[in-house]
Amino acid sequence: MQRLTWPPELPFSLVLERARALDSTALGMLYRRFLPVVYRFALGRIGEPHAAEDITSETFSAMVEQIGALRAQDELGFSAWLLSIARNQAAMLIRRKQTRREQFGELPEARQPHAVAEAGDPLAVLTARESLSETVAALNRLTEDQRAVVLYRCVLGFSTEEVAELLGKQAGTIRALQFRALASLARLLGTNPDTSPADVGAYGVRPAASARRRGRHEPRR
Amino acid sequence: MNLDDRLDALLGASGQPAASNPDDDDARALAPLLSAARRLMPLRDAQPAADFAGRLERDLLALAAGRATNARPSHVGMRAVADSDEPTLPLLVPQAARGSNERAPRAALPRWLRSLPAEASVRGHRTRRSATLPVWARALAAACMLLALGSGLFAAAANAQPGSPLFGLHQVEQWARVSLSSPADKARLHLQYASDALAALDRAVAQRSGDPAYASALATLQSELNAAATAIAALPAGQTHDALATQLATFQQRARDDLRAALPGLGWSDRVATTAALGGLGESVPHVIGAAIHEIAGRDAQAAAHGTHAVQVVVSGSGLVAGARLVVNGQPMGTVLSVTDGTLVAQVSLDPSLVGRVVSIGVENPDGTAAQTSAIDHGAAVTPTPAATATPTPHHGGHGGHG
Repeated sequence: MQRLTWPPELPFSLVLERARALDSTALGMLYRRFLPVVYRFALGRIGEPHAAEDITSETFSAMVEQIGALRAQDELGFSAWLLSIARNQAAMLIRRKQTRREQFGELPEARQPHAVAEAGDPLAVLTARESLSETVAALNRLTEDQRAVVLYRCVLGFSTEEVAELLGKQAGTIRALQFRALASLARLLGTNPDTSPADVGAYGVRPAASARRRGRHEPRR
Repeated sequence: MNLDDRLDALLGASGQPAASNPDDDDARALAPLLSAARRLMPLRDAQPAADFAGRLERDLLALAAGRATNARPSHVGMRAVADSDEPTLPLLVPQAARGSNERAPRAALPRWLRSLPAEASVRGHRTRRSATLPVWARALAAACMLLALGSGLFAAAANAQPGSPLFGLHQVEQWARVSLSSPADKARLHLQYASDALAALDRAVAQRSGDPAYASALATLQSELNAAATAIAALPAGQTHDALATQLATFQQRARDDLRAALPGLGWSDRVATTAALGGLGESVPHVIGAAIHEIAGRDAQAAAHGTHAVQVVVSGSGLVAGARLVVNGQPMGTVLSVTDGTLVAQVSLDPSLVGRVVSIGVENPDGTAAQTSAIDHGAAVTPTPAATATPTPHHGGHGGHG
């Protein structure tokens, strides 16, 4: 996946200025550029394409309604603003789901994740669907900061420095959050084949000096 | 290097885990974390459904257009979006907002029907219900339409074509028919009306009718296509939905082909509007965001000899291709110095009478697609640049198309 970048010969600030004036061409360019970003973030939070589309729709509607007051001048500032809207929309949807006691993270039979598994291969589709569901459930057990770092870094492809700017933190803090988040995910997803409380260090990582290999992995929970 | 930094290095600048190196102790220790990161990779490739993406874009642009017509200009010197170069819909054609395919052309309705509340702004692509007239209003409107249809005026309007003074009345009749139809029939009617509009457009091109027949037919085509797409999307999944979706896709391809074929014979403003319509149908077309005019420091000898005013024009946008030419106030002019996907730079010798009276700057690609903007800035002076090979400026053909 290519992280989104803006063509260098087309000033982002110019497009943003025209978009604030509700120019349809400029708004269309911003929409097409950031649609995959918002959708992937939403899918990473919700795990269900139908709900991710709802969040995406609400996010861009809010973008059109509020862009006149936006102060950001560059692509990263705009990204931070747009993703904060998406984050709030996702949080509201999750609260509504919890209130209705709906089971979270499972995909309806009729909807398949797009571009996750090859079409025409039912076993692969089923496996992909279950894997995505499990992954999103694990992500939602992280703290908000850890989850944001992992999604921005590993799903949306931002660099550590960019994530630091997006979240208003230092780069060192982002690296520490990233480490803890992936260690927790490894534990929750069972990607650590030799995990046992006595064997691992403070963050679930086996110290390199005492690394041992076994012939098989632990079964996934 | 501590493990935090080592992990960050293994994830790289784009957050994608590097391949494992069995000789790297740190990489082996961090293998479970890298495996966890790899579990996120399917999310990186996820794409929203194409039909959802298209519908959402149309709804957002309709939302923006609605807000823009009520907004005051936010910058001195910039035109309000209402004066933008996007093709505007005739007053009597329903807007393409989601769920609004039943909205009546308000100007042509009786006063008591016009006083009904307008639809709220577009929100929530999937979970919101569309705002429609109450059943009693639709029934009463239908009864009025039935009475009115008995009159000679409506009989004459029944065959009115785009561009005709009675076409608005014809659209009122169409609205009444749509409002009384089942959801599937709504979709079929909109497809039929879109087909009629395309036929009218083809006639206007063949007969070189020009404005307003062509512009009206084009606007109607776009509106009916959007309404048909909205109506089909609202249908439950099944054979009817799939059949109508296939019909829509086939018709959209026909529309794309006809609009492309029409381009060479169109005047400048119709060409711009047609290009925008092609963009709405998913074609790759040029877009122009803005333009800047820079005085050239010192006047070159040739310009001075002819009493012209030399300026450099920079056009910003997307979809610009090699061979594109600059168009000022609807007329091709100047020498293109460079073209990239997002920028065209040209040197123009303006007639003194045009200085300060440039109202639109556009670009035309070799395939006939075109875009323009009225957002023109006047930038700092630049030094003269050597002229590139002159872009040929043949006589601008086409009919109608007042700029």
